[in-house]
Amino acid sequence: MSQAIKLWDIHGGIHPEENKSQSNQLPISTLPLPKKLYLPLQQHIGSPSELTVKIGDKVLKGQRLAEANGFISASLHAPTSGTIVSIEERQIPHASGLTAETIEIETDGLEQWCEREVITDYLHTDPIALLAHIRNHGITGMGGAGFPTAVKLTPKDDDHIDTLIINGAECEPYITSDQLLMRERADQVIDGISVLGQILKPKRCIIGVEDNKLDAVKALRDSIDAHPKTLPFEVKVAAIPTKYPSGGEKQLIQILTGKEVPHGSIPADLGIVCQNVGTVAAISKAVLEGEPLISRITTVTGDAVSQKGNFETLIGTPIEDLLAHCGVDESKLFRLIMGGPMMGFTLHSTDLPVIKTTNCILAATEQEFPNPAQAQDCIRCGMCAEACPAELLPQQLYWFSRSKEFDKAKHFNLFDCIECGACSFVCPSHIPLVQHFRFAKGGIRQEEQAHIKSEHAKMRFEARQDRLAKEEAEKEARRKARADAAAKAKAEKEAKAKLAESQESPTTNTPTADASEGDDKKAAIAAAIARSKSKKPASNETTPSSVDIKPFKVASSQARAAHLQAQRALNAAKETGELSKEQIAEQEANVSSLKKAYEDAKAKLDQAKNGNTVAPAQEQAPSVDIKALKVASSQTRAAYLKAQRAFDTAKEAGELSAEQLTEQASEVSKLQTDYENAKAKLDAAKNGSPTQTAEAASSPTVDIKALKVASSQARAAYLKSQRAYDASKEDGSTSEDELSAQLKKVEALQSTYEKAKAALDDAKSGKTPASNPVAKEKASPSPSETFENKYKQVKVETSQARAAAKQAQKAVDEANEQGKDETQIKELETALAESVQTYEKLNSKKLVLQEKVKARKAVEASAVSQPKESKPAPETVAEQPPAEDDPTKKLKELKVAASQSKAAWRKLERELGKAQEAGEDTAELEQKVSAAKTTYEQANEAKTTAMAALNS
Amino acid sequence: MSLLAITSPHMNKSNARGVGFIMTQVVLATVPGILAMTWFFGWGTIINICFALLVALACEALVLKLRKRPIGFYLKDGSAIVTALLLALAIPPLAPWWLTLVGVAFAIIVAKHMYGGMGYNPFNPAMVAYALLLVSFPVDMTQWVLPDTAPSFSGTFQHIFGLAPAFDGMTSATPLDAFKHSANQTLNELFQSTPALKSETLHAWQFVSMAYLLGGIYLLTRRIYTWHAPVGMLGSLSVMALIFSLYDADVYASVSFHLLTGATMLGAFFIVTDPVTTATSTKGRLIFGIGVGVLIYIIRAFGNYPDAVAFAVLLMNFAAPFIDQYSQPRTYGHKQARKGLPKKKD
Ligand code: SF4
Ligand code: SF4
Repeated sequence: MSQAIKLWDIHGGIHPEENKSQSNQLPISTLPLPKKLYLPLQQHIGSPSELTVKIGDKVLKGQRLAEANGFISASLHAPTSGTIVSIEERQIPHASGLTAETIEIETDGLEQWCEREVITDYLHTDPIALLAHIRNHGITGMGGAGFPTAVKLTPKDDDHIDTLIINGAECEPYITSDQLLMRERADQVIDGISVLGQILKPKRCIIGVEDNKLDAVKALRDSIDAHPKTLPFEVKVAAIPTKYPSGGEKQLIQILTGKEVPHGSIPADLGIVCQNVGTVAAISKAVLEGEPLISRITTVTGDAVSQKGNFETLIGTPIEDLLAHCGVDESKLFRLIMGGPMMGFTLHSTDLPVIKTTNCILAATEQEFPNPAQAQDCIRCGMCAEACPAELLPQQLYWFSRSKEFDKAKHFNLFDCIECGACSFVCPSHIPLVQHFRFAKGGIRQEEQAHIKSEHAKMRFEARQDRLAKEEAEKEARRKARADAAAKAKAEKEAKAKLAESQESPTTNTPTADASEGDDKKAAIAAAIARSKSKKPASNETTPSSVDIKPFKVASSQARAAHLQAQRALNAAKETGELSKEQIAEQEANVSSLKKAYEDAKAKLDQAKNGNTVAPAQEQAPSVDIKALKVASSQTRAAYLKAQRAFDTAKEAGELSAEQLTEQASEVSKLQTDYENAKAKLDAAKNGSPTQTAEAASSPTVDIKALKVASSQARAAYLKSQRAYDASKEDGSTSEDELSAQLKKVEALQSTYEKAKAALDDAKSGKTPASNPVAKEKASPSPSETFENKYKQVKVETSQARAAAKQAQKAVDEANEQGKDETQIKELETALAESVQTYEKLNSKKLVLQEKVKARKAVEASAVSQPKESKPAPETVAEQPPAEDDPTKKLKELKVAASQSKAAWRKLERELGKAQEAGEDTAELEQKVSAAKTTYEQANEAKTTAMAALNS
Repeated sequence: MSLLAITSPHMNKSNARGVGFIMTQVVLATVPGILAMTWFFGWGTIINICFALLVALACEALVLKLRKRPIGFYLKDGSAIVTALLLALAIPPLAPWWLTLVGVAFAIIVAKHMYGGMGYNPFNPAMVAYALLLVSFPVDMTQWVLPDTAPSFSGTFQHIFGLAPAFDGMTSATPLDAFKHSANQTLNELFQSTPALKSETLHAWQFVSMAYLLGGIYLLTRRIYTWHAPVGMLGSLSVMALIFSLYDADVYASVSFHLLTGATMLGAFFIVTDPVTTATSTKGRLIFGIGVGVLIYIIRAFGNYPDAVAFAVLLMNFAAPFIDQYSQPRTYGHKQARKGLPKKKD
């Protein structure tokens, strides 16, 4: 096992004084059990662990205290048995002095173990189970930043791991914990490698050890020779030249394989996984002994302590205790460093615990690490560039960082700086270069954050503006409708009596006009009759002579057209494959319902034909004509609204191409025209002059509002894609082809937008100040039917929105897994939040409508059963059933609904409060809260009105 | 116990190898050259150097005071000393005192501090001053004493400070100068007829050049700078000289003549290696050196000035920022080196 291994050189590097002999003379010794242990929930990279214990709990050694919270997280275990005496926010050892929730354990000295799970036959264990074991045992990287090991060992599907690199370089001066580990516990390291071999199935494994630790090299080689059976792959120990920072992951990979980890990639992309020796030993302990990561070897050195050496230290041991044990001379202690002198960070107090990544505590005197000399001007000597292992030009980066020319600093690859400190080390002008680079990196991140934020704010603002405009329009429409209803109420009362007489079937005198729907009672009643008749064709009592075929024909052909259009749209969507399965299913349902409508209409037409020969429209009994027209109108309207909603959803989801969108838009406007025609005919029929109005209505109507919305959405889509394109261009990591593809997309969107705008402008210029389209949209024939239709629509929309939300969630998850850059993930997350919000809104709407439909049905049922008893209540405004067959029950239901929605609203409000306290971004929550509030208010209103009606 | 909060790294080699150390090494490396100059051209060199140092320190202190900078802190970096030293080595040993005064003052006050001081000056101060003197006082700047004819220490002193009449007939042009103004003679005739080109004279120049080379090698071994700029300059100068002398050996001087006369070696190891005003990456420095070498040859062979180091260096100083943009190293993990500056965004 000692044949020469080909080594490569890294650029730069330095040779600081090693200072290792102070601490590597004595064997590893164990620290006396501390009285208290402090275990922060955040000792690793990723999200903090989640507590599984509480204050006062007795815990056993090795018992889990907190579990991994999310994929990139690690669990935490009790280093010894004892009692949890507090869980509170404390300072943790961190470069920027962060705090984290910390579990305080009072040790009981019994060292009572919990039950341990051991996998002795790991060579025949499923790698997944081994990974789970490693994850459950809280193993994190012990050499560097503390990245959860299981995550690093879970390669992406397409990465085959070819080389396993074990990092025993320990290039930092002063630190000797890995050296001692390799020297004394080489078997543990080799066992760990064997476990990793079972997980990763590599072809070979190289252990890189600097050649100033030949004792460790020898120990490892001996151990390899003693383990031939458990190592089904080649394992070699490479003694690499001592040079800082050869122990950097990227540098070690370069030294051992000659490969560079490409910018923006991880070693796994090269088929390489790199693990620290300490981590590997911890894995072996976890698998073979069932011991979670509860202790580690820590070097204590520096001239301020008298007893330098390496100690097996429990995680959570106060550094105070450690230093005291080593005989610290506090008067001499000048700089306390966790980690090595090159990359470690200073601690502000000794009142901090040892954590999983604490490989060294360096208690230095002033002579050892005096205050840094005052920095002089950079003389551009280039020594920093010569020392830089990343082949950067620190002198240029320094220049740009100082002048805050961040774009230039980025261009000079600032983010490839590994902050190794080699440049600062050699700079003859004593310039703390790394500090400047950290500052610049922070500055750039902040700028990017701010940029993203402002983009979000902009998007939110636009969305809000849209929403407010819509709400305003709706309010206006409602107000107008109410006024209309009130004005008509009187006339209707009179008309009603007459109408009732002219009806052959019993008058289903629905007592309330749904004023908010803006329709008149006459039509409502007529439609209700028509509907009940169409449901029961056998009992259809309409006199054949009074039936006109024409309206049925119209209705039938319109319904057919609607159906065919929807079918076409569906086919197109299927072909392009841009819709998700769920969406297609929704659309299919849509199409089939349209088909049914068409078939109904056709059946009616046939019926009418059978019962009647040609009869001119003018001779029709107006009430029957109205009925038929009503049906046609309501059907076309339903078709139109459905298409409109589907179109909006598709647009929002941004999954349709520009052409598809325009196609759908034209379809929508056709359907709208159909509907308006039908309605006009209906109105005309009511007025008694059908032919005229039919003609009048046949003149094309353009919905400016729809066009406006379409235009603004197209614009938003265009701008968004433009931004995305700019971002990726700037980022520079996107390939040329991708960029040009993006550019094309941007241009396509731009032209869509321009088209939409042109259409809008056309429409505007040709606009006649006719009717309020919103009011028209809201017009509806029968309250119950409207509700039902509406409910159905909303239901469809809701499920569409849910599908969209699911998709967005999937996208976010994927992006997270693939380690896409933060900006992208942020964007996706925003999209997700938006779609979730849409879904929630729709869902609450759906529920409200469901309620209403129920209520309305009950009302109608009662109206049918007690036709004469019901009395009109024109002054009641909206959305409530004033009289029912079982009003008490209804009221109860409403009460429940109200209290539920109230609870939901309150909950959201509490969440909002919390989020605000935490200083999080609350805009989305605020919107949710207001949505929930609206729901509640609606429910409450319904409740009170119902109550009032009942009382009266 | 008061704990100090400093970010990493906590160790710094520069406590031993600071800017002052670098400058000291440079000064040390000039010693062989100074000795050789004094040996052949008399005490003038040393007197000039001492005077130049005094002027430089005085100017530096004055300007720092005016700029309200800590005088002691900045004087310690030794950059003014090096500037003065190099200028004093470049001008003729018997140059009058006011020449030195004007040159050094201009170098420190204008070429260095008016551009922002240490580290910010785009042009090599010593070369700026040299060029200024050459253009303004061409006669004084080209009168060199012939080797081994220099007056005694006191005589030289009196001469420099104008206390005694000039030594007529003892001064002469440098070999390069003589070569330059050799109109219609072939090389052979020229070398025989001109005192400045006699073998003893050439010998003296060669000796001085070798002394500078020695100092340069010392600095290279001490890793004060990398080989790129000197090798680039000497290499390109040699190649140019070789090509032209092969083309017509009667008109164009040999490679060794170009390398070992004039300020070639001084330039290669003490001027183009000035970190502040050259390109900053090693690749850039190689390019910088090559550019200087080519320009030196062109100016020497086809231009009007006998020696060309100062002009060539200044011209390349202009180009240094540009070279910097196009000579970035390829960063770890990147396929290609970046070029240019980031595109402007609006
Ligand atoms: S080592 Fe220091 S002085 Fe030299 S170029 Fe780098 S930053 Fe400037
Ligand atoms: S800290 Fe950054 S710039 Fe400095 S040497 Fe290390 S990688 Fe290069």
